[in-house]
Amino acid sequence: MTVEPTVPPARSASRTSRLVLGLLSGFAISVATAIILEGGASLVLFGADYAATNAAPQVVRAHTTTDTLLGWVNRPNFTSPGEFGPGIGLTTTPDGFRTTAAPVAGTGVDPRRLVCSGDSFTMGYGVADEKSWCSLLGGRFRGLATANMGQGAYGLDQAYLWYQREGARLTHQIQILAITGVMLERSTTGNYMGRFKPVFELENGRLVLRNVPVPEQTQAALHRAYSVRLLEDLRLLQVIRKVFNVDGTRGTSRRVDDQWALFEKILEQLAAYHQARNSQLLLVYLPTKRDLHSGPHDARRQRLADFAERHGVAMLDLTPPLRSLRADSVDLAFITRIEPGAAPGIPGHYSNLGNVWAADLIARKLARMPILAGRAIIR
Amino acid sequence: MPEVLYHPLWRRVAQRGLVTILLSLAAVAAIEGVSSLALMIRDARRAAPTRPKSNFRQAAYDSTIGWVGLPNLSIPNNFGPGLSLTTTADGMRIHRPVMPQLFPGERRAICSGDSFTYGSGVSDGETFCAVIEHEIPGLVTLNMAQRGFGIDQAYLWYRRDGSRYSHQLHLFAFIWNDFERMTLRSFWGYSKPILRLKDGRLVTENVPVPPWAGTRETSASSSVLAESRLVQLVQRLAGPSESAQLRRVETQIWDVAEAVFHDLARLNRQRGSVLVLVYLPAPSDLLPGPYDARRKKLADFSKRSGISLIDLTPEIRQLPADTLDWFFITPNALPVGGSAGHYTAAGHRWVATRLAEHLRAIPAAAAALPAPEGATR
Repeated sequence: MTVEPTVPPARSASRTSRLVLGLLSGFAISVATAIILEGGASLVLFGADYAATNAAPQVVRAHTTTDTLLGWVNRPNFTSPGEFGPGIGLTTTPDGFRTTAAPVAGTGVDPRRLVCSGDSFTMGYGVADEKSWCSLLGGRFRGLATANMGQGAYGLDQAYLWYQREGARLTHQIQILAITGVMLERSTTGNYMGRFKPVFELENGRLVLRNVPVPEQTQAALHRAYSVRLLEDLRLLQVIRKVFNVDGTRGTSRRVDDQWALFEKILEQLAAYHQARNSQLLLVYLPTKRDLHSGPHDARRQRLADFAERHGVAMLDLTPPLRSLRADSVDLAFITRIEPGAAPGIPGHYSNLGNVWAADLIARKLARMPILAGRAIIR
Repeated sequence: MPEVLYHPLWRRVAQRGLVTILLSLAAVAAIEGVSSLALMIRDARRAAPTRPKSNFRQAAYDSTIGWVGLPNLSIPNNFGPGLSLTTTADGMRIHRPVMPQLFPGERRAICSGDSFTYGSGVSDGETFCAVIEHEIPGLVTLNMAQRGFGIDQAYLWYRRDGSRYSHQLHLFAFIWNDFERMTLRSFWGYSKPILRLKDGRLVTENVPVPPWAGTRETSASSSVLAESRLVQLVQRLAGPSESAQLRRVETQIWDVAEAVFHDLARLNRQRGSVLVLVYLPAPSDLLPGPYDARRKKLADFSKRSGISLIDLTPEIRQLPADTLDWFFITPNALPVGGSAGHYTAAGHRWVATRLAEHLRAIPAAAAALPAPEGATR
C-alpha cells in the first residue's frame, strides 16, 4: 500500500500567497522603476539645460551699453543692418535714440516734435527703424518729427528716468508714454530677470532712487535668472502650481499692486512736468499677447485709466481695439517667425502690421488734440 | 579563532555616504517621477474629449486609394463664413460645373496634390488651381487633390480617374511631407495604400485598403506620451536628426517616387497631356534646411528625365517675412481645425501667378496652354 503524498493545506495557501506576493512585488518594483526612471530623466534634462546656460549666447545685445543711472541704453550712432533679419536693421541717433527714418511730411507749418517713451514695443523690436509705430506717426501729421526713446526691457522707472535725462533736452511738444503690463512689473525690482537696473521707492510721499549707480551687468546674474526659470520645467513644481493653484506670477502681481502708489507718483511727476512746460502728455497702454484675454491685467489698465481721468491726462488703451480684431488679424499683429541670425526675443512683439495698427489708432487720438489740430494727413 | 576583517573606517563612511546619496537621489527622482506621471494621467483624461471629429477630412472610403472627397457636397461656410466646399459626384473639389468635354479653344489642366492644392481653409474659387484660370484665359482646371494625400495616392487617383476628363496639362503638385506619407499605411487614422517597387514595376500593397473609422484613436495617448520626460530624454539623446529622418525616408521611397513620376509622364503622353511636377513650398520650406537636399534631388531628376519641374521655393524665400505672413493661414484664423499653415487666398493667388509665368516659359507646357487671344497656333 502506498500512501499518496499530500501537501498540507497550510503549505498550499502559503505557496499561493507567496505567488501573489511575488506578483505584487514584481508589479510594485516595475512601477517604482518606471517612476524613478521618469523622475531621473526629468532631473537629467534639467541638469543638461542648466549646464547649457553657461554656453548660452550673450543676452545683452550689442546695440546697448551699460549706464550707471539706467542700467543700459543704446549705443549712440549704432548701426546693425541685419539686427532683426535681412533688411530689418537697427540704427541709433547720436543721442542713442532709435532712428525714425521717415522724413518729416509737409512744409510751411510750425514744426512739432513728439517723443515716444516705452519699452521694446515702442522701440519696434523686430521691425525696421522706419516701421515702428513711433516712426510711422511722423508720416501721419504735417510737420511732425518723432524721437523714439523706446528701449528693450525697460520698466516704467527707466523710461521716466531716460526721458528726464535725455528727452527733456529735446525741444518737443508731445510725449507719448507707452506702457505695457510688463513694464510695471519690471519697475518693482532692481534686478529683473538678472538685469541690474535702478528702482524707485516711495518714502514719505517722495520718489527715492535706489540701486544707483547701477552695478555693472554680469553674465552670471543673467545665467542665474535663466536657471531659476528652468525650474519651471520640473514636473514637481508644475504639480505644486496646479494642485495648490499657485500661479508663478502671483507674487509679481502682488508687488505691482503694492507699488501702485509709486507708479502713480512717477506719472504724477511726469504730468506736472508737462503742465509746467505747456506740453502734452499722452499715456498709451500697449497690449501684448498677455492682454488678448481678460485677466488680472485688466485691473491695472483700469487703474491707469482712473489715474488719467483724475489727473486730466490724455490716455488711450489699445486693448479693447485689439480684442475686437479678427482672430487672424491678431495673429498677424504679432511676430511669429524670425530669420536665422536675428536677435533673440523677437517673437511676440508687434509685426509691421501691428505697428501700423498701433500707429493708426494713436494718430486718431492725436488728431483730436489741439496741439496737432489740422495737421492730420488723411489716408 | 578566525580572524575578523574590518574595513577601514573611511571606507565604511564612504560606503554609507554613497548609499545615502543614491537613496536621496532615488527619492528625489521618485517624487519627480510621481509628479510627472500624475500630470500625464491628468492630461490624458483631459485630452480625450478633444479628439477631432469623426471623418474630419470629409472623405469617402475608397478601397484602392484610401479616400476621396465626399461626393456632391455643397457647404457654403465649410471652412468659415463664405469659405465654401463643393464637390462633384466623383468627390473632386470644383468652383463651377465641370464638363467632361471641352468647348472649342479651351484647354484643361488637372491639378493633383494634397491639401495645399485642394485648398484647405479657402473657398472653392480661391485655390491656385481655380485662380490660374484667370491668369491663363481659356484654361479650365479640375482639382483632383485631396486632403492628406501622399504622392502615391495622388498618382493612383489620377491613374484611375484622370482619363475621364480630357486634358492637355497635368500639374502634379506636392509638398515635402507628401514623400513621407508614402511610407505610411495609414495617415491620421485613415488607412491608405502603399506603393512598392518590385522588379522595376510599381506594385500597390495594403489593398483593398482596410476600412477606417475616421478617428485618431491614438492621438490623446501619443500627445500625452510626448510629455513624458523619459521620452523627451530618449529623443534628445537618440532621436534622429532631420537629415537622418530625411535619409531614412528617401531610402524607402525615392526609387518609388521616381517610378511614379515616370509612369505619370507615360500616362500623360497616352492621354495627350503634358506633365509638370510642382513643388509647393510649405511653411517649413521658408528657411533653408535639410530638406533642400530633396529639392536638389528633384531638380536633378527633372534634368535627367526631361520631366518639367517648377519649384516655387527659391522665389517665396525672396519675399519679406511680413509678406509671407499673409500667405499662410494663421493658427487662430479659422474656426475649423486643420487649416492653419496652408495657403491663404493671397498665397494661392501668388502661387497661381508664379505658376502661370513658369508654365509659359516651359516650351512643352506653353504649347499645351490655350493660344493667347489673337495668336494662331
